[in-house]
Amino acid sequence: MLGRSLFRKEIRENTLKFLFGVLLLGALALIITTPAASGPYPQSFFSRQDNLPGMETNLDKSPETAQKTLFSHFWKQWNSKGLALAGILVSIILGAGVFAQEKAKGTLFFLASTPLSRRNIYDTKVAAGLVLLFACIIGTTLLLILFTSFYGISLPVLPFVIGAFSAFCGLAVIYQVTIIFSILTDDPLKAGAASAFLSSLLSIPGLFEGGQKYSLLLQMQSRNSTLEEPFSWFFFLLMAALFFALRHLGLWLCYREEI
Amino acid sequence: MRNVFIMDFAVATAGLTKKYSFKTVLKDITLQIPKGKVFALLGPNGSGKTTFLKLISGLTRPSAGEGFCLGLNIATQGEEIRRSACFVSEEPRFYDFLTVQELLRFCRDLYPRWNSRFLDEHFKIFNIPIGEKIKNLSHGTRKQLALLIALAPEPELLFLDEPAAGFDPIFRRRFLNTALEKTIGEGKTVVIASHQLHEIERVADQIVFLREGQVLEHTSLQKIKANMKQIKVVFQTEPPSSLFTMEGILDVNRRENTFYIKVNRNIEAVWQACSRLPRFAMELTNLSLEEIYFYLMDNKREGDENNARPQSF
Repeated sequence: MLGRSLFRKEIRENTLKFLFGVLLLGALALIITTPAASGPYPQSFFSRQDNLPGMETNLDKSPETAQKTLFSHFWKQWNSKGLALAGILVSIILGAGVFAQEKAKGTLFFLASTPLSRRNIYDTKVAAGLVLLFACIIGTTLLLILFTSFYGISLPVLPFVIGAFSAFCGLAVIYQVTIIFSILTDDPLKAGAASAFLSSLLSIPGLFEGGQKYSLLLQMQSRNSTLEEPFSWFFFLLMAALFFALRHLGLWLCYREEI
Repeated sequence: MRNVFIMDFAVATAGLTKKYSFKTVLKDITLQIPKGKVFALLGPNGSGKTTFLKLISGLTRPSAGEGFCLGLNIATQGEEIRRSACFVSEEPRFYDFLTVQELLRFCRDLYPRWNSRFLDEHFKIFNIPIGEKIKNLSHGTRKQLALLIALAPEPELLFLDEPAAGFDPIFRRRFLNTALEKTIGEGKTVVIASHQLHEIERVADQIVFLREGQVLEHTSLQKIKANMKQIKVVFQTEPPSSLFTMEGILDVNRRENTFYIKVNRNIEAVWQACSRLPRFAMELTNLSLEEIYFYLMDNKREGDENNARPQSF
């Protein structure tokens, strides 16, 4: 069960961090969209390619291919550069202070001395952070779709939202990892740094042949649910399993550390 | 512990021990806190007072032993305990970004009962600005706010950890009076951990003296003050040393010809023995709680056969 008033407090306390995330990802959405202003897509896109030295000039320039290439371009820009990288930063910023900041300010004792159980406190804090993270990721993805529509490009909403959700699942795991470090230290900076380091380790499998599907970063880029490839549940199930395992670890640490 | 026994007391513990890594902070604490009384925990810094409060309020788990607070197991029913037992810490810290009113709303949703009328009355008495942000409140106002927040859920049991440390006497008295009127006046229990011996002497019914995580003495204030006396006598000649080895004499201090003899039993016999010697003056005085505290902390050692045991008081 979640503590209603604690949930409201968490949302309010993290509003600035949420706004930072929206601004960061919103700015990225704008940066990704802005080149479209230079001319009608996808024609200008192909004309620039024609001018590149060594570029084949007999590319398939059919409207379907052009459309597909255009969507793919936006997909890679947004999912690889926007959500997967900037999203990690946002989830670490949201998670680093969850317990560490309360410990540093001495408010955790006040919270613990209320009738809320440690489970209540932990789950409520995680839920509030996830709501903000979700709103930030999905919201800015919709913002990207809105920005592109200003230039006459209609990106397919559903695949982009599914791709964003895929990134959110990976970010939720990183958020849990950050919270675990936040339980162990009373310095949000240390918790964030430790989480960033561990999150980078979770991407190491992607460096090896056949390990791509176990790489957190690569999976968050939604390669298995891109416009071209068939949708796969594997990543979602893996992230769900990791998330709940980390939640149990976090809760166990809360009791062990007597927060 | 038997269920009937547990329900008779606000708090009952048996062999309660708390260890942090390799350090034993509380060792084998067995005591009972009766309902409807003011119970004081006295002891120097690091004697385990706050740890004991945290244990019995279910905020931390015992390493060994067991305890029950309001009939609930302190190791497994912390949340249920804290619905009926509120805690005012030595340095209350709240969320600085909230206003007083927002903080009250935050707390109101956490408790099954909430007495808004009591709060309205006391906010006026304490002159707490309801619309002010917590970060702008003084230390004293925060502490008053913490007390009011702890009293608003009408707790059966109130834990006060150094409730008025660092405050002037007028504030201290007003603070404690508010806490006691609302609790003891309604038949509830208060457990205070404090160094403010004068205040404790004024309000406590029962006292536990703690040192290095162990109980030195558990007694009622009335009993310890009735049984522990001091004979102040100015002899005309040097008294025989056998006088000071009489049964019941705890301690003898000499300042020139004046002797201060602390006695906890056999008072009549010691008085008679002193009065048989040539003297200029002699009087029997009560010891203040402060004097008793210093005596116990300075002299009483675990397993010291020559010193009085708890039952002797």
